[in-house]
Amino acid sequence: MAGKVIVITSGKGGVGKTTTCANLGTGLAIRGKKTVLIDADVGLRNLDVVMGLENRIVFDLVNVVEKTCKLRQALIKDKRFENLFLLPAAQTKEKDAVKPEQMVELCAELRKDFDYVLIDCPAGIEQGFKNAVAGADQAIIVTTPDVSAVRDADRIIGLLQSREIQNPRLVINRVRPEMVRKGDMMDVNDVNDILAISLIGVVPDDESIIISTNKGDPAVMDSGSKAGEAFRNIVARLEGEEVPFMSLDYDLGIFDKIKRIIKM
Amino acid sequence: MPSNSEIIKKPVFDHDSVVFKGYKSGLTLVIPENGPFKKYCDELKTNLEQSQEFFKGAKVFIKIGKRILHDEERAELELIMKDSGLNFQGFQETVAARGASQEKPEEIDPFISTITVRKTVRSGQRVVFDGNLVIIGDVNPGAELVAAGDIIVLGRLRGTAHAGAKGDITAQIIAFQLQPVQIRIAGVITRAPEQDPESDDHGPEVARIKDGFIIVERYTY
Repeated sequence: MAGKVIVITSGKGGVGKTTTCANLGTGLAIRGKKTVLIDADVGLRNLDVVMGLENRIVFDLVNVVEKTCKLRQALIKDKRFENLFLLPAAQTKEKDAVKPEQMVELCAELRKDFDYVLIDCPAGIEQGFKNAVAGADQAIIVTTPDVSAVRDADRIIGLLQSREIQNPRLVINRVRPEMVRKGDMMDVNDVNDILAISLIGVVPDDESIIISTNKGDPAVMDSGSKAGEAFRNIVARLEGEEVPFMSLDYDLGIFDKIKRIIKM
Repeated sequence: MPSNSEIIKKPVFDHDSVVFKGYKSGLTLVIPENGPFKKYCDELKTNLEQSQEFFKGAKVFIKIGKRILHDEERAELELIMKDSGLNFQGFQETVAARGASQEKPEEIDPFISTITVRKTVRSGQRVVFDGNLVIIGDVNPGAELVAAGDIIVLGRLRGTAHAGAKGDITAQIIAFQLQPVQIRIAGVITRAPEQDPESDDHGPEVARIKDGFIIVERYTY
């Protein structure tokens, strides 16, 4: 079995890489895929918190690459899904505690046993980024519909190209249909216009994400969550299914609808 | 290679390290005209230490171009040569450099070459070429084009472009959609107006210098 190694990256911080990683991982696991999440953000680990697995960490990524423990010992099994694992980052080390070659080796090892290896990349384009992308053969770029995040995503796409990771796919996170409609926020086309890479998902801004993140329960498990639904669609697309992009016009009141028609 | 900029074709404007060139009459050591002298000295020492046997006894000229060296610096170089067993012959320098402002502009060869880049140039990427530059694709905000000649973008130009970078004031910048952050032609700089243009699509436009200012007009053909 040769699994896929996908890095989830953005350049800019705070756009939802970790949330996306946790949700896609969980979504894949729900579908029965054997999945491991690697937190490559050494020194600022978060993925364990979002997954609600913080209290189970004994060994971490740095222990594994330094070979002070076995890979098997450092993998934390998820509390909900049998086939979901987390390899946490070290919190007390720095980014240079891991080298790109070690990540390549680690990913090669993990892909033998897993269907999916998802790597949560730190913000920035320095050592942490280099480590995170070293072992990956695919990439998912997360951006929000604002100018600076898109600019950084563009930079990342360029850097990935020079590292032979072609055809990265784009997740546009935290879209607020209300603002898009008023023309106060970039819409999907505006973002696509600049980045021109294939879109794999549009995730609406959703308060339930904040709640689920704080509770350590990824939103993808919540069937009532709009964002969760968007993440489930992304998972399906990762699996090669054709899923139409969901309409984000869900909150249109009758008054807005009329205004819209008049405008057209 | 700098990690934060992807240079697609080798930059012709600046060599940033010392280079040995071999000629019939002997070796010429080229020290870049700009940049810290100290750094190049250290670099040279390391290079020579690693390849001492190889260069031993060779006749060496040191080409410093327009760089101005003090006597101590000259002595330091001579000492490095001597320590490495090289047979130092003398300095090659552009004499104009000594009289400071006599610098004459580099001559512009009308038969400069052209390269084509078939991809989107993204933020943080920089394409530098000693000739004309043709981009088939978009140039995104945060990207940078530098060419000695003209720049032609068959797509949207939304980054920064510098044509005639070696002083050619007749250089032009042409794009299907000219929406750059900043345009430079030779030594003239202009930036996009602050307010949003009333329409995004003006069709192909050309930027050139007229009466000392950069003007942008519809490209007519």
